[in-house]
Amino acid sequence: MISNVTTDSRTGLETREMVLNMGPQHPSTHGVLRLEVVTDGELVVKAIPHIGYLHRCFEKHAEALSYQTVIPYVDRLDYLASMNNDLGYAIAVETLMGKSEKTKIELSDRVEYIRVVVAELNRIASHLMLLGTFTMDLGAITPFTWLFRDREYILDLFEEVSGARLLYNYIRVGGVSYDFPPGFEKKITDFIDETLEPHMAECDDLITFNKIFIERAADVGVVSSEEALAWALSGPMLRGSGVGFDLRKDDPYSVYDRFDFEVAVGDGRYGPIGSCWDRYYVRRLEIDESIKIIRQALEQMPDATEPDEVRSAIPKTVRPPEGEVYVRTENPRGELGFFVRSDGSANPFRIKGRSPCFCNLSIMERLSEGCLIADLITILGSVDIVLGEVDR
Amino acid sequence: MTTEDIRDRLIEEFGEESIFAILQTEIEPEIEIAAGAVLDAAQFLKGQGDLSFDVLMCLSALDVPTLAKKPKRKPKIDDESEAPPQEAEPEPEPIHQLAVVYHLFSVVHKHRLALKTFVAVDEPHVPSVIAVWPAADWHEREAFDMMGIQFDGHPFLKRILLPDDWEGHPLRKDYETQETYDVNDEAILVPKHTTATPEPVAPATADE
Repeated sequence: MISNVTTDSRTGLETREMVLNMGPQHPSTHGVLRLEVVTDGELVVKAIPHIGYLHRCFEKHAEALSYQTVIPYVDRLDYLASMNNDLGYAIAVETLMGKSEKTKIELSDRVEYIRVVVAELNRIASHLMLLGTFTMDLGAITPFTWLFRDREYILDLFEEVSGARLLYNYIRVGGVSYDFPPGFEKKITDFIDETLEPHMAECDDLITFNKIFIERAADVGVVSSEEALAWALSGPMLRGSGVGFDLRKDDPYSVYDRFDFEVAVGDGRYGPIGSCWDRYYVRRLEIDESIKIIRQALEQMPDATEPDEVRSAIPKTVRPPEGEVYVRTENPRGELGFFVRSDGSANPFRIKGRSPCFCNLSIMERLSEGCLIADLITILGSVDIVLGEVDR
Repeated sequence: MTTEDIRDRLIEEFGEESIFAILQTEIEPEIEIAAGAVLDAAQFLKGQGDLSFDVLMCLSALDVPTLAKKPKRKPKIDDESEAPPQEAEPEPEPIHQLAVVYHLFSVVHKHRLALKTFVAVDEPHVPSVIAVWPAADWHEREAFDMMGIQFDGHPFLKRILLPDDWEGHPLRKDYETQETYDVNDEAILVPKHTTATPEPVAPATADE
């Protein structure tokens, strides 16, 4: 695996490119990703991602299951943001069902608000994970443990509401599986006021504006806005490049049009727009925006009018009318789309999951050209991949 | 801009022999397009200022084992809208076809579009749109991997999620699960789940 041998005319010494394998088992690849790295000394000529090590045939499985029983599999796509996955899938199937008067599902407002609250909490948990692992990739251990402490609170909250810590199976087609337990809203606001917000201020002091961190992350892995669109990047990858596009704002689903929040955009404060630091900072700011949305949602959320209201609209059998839809929602990692084709039976005819990480990772080969090996880790960390979703 | 307007623009440019009716108007409108015209149409859709579809959101391949239903559906749509633009419809006999659906979005104009093309299962050739949207790279490899669609002009059309030596395309409706992993490779031959197990083979390899 040696190519491009060049001989120095003065000394007669040969220089060769060397191919190294990074992964599939490597701590910085966040799962089972293999990067085939062509190196020229300390420089990376290119790094070619090889994926598929975690392929679990989600799409094939889904064809053999009924619509409602696909949800546990959807949970396992992006296992750090299961609530958001469930929400996207549920909306996709509900959209398909809404095309016929017979199967149309009317969601109560309480269900919509519950969904938004848990989805935004999960977004925060997912971003906390990224901020922690990203800085750990750069060699800082403390932020990882600090941020995981906060994420743990959110997982405890989810355990209380759904019974599970990671894979919730909570949002169903037509509702959610349980209403909030008594006093749950107060627990969320207490957590945000007393724990999360002070800790985010600490996080800014500790890493966001830390000079060492800025030096490592700014000016590295720069993606221009044109490139970001051409490669169909989404989520913080796209917004980090200066494109203020957020599906919650620009193509609102559920009740997101009722909230007042900003779309965080990379501003190139340190170095060019679209660097790893910008992507990090967009995620950091999105935590603040999610807090805003949660506060408003808890304020606007109507009380349950009848017992078991959140489950009353869940259909016994889900049989959408014949047809296809592509529905996309804003996941922590970007645009999660579900292309669902129904043939009128109780099982989906075809489901394609358009995973944000899959598209975001595809630019890796381009991004890695000419960077340092140490920066390769930084770039990969800032893309924020979850292999469960890349490989499906 | 509505899907009808975009279809009119496409017909103006490429003619009715490449651009067909709008499918499933009542759910999510999809413009049916001839496979050969996909690349030109993609360039047109991205390049025109008032269309500027700059993002390929998703590229999905699907298997449509029988199209017996399709000709039934089409005249229905035609009745609802206007005079049928093409009479020479595909014959109503069931044919095994594959389809590719392109979901496009314009960040500038905030409109979206779905393009759909059908190809025969034994000649599944579609031009690659990498030159227009680099994002198509992995999507097309996945469609090749799972559905066996050949994207002409793709620089590296290899399997992406499955191992390189995998046989068949699993998301096709006529896919049969492999009993053995690789029949040609004796070393990793997995015994079939049948009663006729090759008994003498196992002790022979154990002795060696």
